[in-house]
Amino acid sequence: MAEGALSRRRLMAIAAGTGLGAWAAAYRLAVAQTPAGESPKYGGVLTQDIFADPPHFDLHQSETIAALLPLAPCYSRLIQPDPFDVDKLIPDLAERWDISKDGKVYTFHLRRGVKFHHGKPLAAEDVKASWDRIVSPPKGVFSVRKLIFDAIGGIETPDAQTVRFVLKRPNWSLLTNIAHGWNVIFPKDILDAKGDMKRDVVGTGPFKFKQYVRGVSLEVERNPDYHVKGRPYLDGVKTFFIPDANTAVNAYIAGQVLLHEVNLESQADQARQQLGSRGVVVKTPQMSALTMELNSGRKPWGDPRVRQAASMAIDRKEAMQVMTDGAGEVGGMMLPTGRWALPLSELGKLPGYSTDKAAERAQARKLLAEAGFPNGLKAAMAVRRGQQFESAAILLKDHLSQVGIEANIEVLETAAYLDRMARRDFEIGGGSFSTAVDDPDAILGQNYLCNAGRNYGNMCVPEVEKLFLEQSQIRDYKARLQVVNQMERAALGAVMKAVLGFRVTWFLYSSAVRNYRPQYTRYLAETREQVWLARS
Amino acid sequence: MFRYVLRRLVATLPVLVVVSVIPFVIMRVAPGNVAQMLLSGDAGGGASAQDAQELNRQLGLDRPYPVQYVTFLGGLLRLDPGRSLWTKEPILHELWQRLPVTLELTLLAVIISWTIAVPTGVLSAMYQDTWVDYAFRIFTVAGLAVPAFWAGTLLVLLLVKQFHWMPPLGYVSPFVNLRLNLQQFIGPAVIIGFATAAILSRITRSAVLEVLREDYVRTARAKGLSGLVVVGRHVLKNALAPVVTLSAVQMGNLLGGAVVSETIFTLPGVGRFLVDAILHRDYPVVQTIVILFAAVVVMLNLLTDVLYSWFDPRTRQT
Repeated sequence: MAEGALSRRRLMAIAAGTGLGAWAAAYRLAVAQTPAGESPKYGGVLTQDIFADPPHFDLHQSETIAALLPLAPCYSRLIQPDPFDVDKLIPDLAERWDISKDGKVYTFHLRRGVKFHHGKPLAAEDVKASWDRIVSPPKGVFSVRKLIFDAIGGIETPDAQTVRFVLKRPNWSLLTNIAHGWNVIFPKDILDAKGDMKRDVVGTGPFKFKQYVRGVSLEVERNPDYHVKGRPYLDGVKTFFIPDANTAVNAYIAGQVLLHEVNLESQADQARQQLGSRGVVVKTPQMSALTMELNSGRKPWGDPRVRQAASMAIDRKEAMQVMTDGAGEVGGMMLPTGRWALPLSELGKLPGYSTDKAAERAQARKLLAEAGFPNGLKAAMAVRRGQQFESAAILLKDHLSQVGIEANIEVLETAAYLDRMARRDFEIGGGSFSTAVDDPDAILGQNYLCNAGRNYGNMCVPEVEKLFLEQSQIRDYKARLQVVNQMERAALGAVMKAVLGFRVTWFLYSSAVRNYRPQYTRYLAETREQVWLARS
Repeated sequence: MFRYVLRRLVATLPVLVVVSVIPFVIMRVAPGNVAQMLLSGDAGGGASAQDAQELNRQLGLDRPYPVQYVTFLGGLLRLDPGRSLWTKEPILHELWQRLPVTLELTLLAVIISWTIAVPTGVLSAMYQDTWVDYAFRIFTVAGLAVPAFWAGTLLVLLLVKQFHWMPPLGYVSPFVNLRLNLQQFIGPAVIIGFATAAILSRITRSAVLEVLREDYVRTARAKGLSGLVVVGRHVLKNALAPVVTLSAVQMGNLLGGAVVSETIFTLPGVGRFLVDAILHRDYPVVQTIVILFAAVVVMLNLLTDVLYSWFDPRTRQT
């Protein structure tokens, strides 16, 4: 079995310097790149799977991977992450870009000769129309990530090949966030005519829409007019919709699906044993955090001492053991293996991260007594249905009880759980969040700011708000990292969320798949432009 | 006869009205709503309350419940239950696409269940309290005891482990490629058919045992007819009436089995449509499918009663 693990080269360098070297080394590069002596072959259909059908095709209004994965091959963005080094941005529809000295004007120069799948040539007005609805959506359009682009003041089109983003303030995360897989360019004529892209798949990507059979699969085929010469290699990509996790892994073993992702090591082992050298398993850390939410709007969780006591009760190492088969990594606000995280030695000084759990739990009991709960307190814990969340809830209940917090678990299916969290109708919530990129603006903007949709604890920490704006405007990486670290200390110190750690995923793919590299998030879009099959 | 059928048809209407109210109420009482689900996705939610509220308004879910119910019922009477809140596609169109899958699955399951149930039931009765009887009884009890989701998962696992093969994903119409179609359907049909056969086999056994003790059977034997002819010509004909009745009643179970099997075997049928709709809180889809399933069960029961009354006019009086 060609087994490997994944990290990023830059990440390795940073990790090595911050004491994470050993862990990062375990995730060494293992990429299904073209081996020496082989040249890419044309033809074949790559089959992959996802757990559900997309509710609609409009990626700007969607936040489910069930929409992004099958549709990503049909679209282009202004810029994109390098599929082999996702921290590096490379051109997509914009062949080059300039940033003004004050960091407030971004000018993108579009490629010439790009055509949409319906034949219309790409123009700057298409980019403007797409980005206008992301940044300031018209009535009836729901742009779920608009907060990340709060700094954009306006979008101009000086000529047909140039697009200019004018910012209200410098934002050095902008390019990273523009490269999200969601931020695809739609044709203006269809947007004007229909108002949305819920039923149309028309992009400028390497593949074009072929067929969608609801409940079965979505198929895309090679775009002969694709603007990158010689690409794509594949004849098509077919995404099957398989709701049952066991069926999906069996479909992979049976060879009906060539590319699959599992969250449990036991399933990866099953595939490894069954397929031998015909399959590849790559273990990849994910930009997906497991959390315990504490609702500051409910008494007594508005008291920071009570929140700190709850966070201090949790043994995060043990939590990772239970929730991720021991494969996950303890972390704080930012991806622990990423460019922005506090080193573990620093994390250890924050409430909940000490390795001396006995002492920390004694301290937690004192805090509860000071807050007026010498005999502990009772609380309801809302938990999302699912093996990972339910076993976590039992562990959290046990850990909380050790400092005197008696949590009553209430298991809710996803719809009910999301509804309760959105209405902030809970005391303790056990859940998770994923972010497309390892970037402070994206993570803070969606999860920690006062008006962030996923700030379930309803916490508003003025210091975090101030530091967020400050870090976003610093261009120098080292100087910005210092502010981001300061912000992470403030957020974790106030226990805005009790982050337990980050997930790991196992990507399984056929040994025939070439030029594919699993990434730390699936939301950066996997267009399959560079992928080819050694045998069709 | 006509008056009897008419009376029974009228009697089914209150049943369908009650059935239409139950999922309407349950779905609204259940926490969660489709707007939140549409906006949140799997990345951890995060839609603003204002966006969710606006989307709810667009979907018409901010209207009073009685208005929503009457609107839905009115649409249903015009054979237009509206559009799915999740996909915005017309529900009838979606159902039309998925119905052939579920119909084929249930039909195959019925054939398999009868193929298993009738011979095992008859043989059990004929060889009462022998090892044949015990063996078939164990076999049928297993069918009753094993849940469809477990049997389905095990079957797929067995095929994959032993043969690195599993039924082809998706759905191919039998009119396009019968071989491929059967590969897709035989597994789930066997799982559902086996579970249904368990009950049918036990009923067949009881019915055959009862008939075997009748005087006319003894007479037939006394005439010198062979055992096979006695069973085939005299016993089965009279014993199968309750089995037919139970088959109709079992339709509910068959549809329930389809819900599970379609998910495990990734068949895009009505059962999987229902599961997805419940998870997404797609109210009109859930209501429509529940009413459709209820109507099918009610109509089959009515058909059985009509056939019964045709055979035995005394039942029309009751």
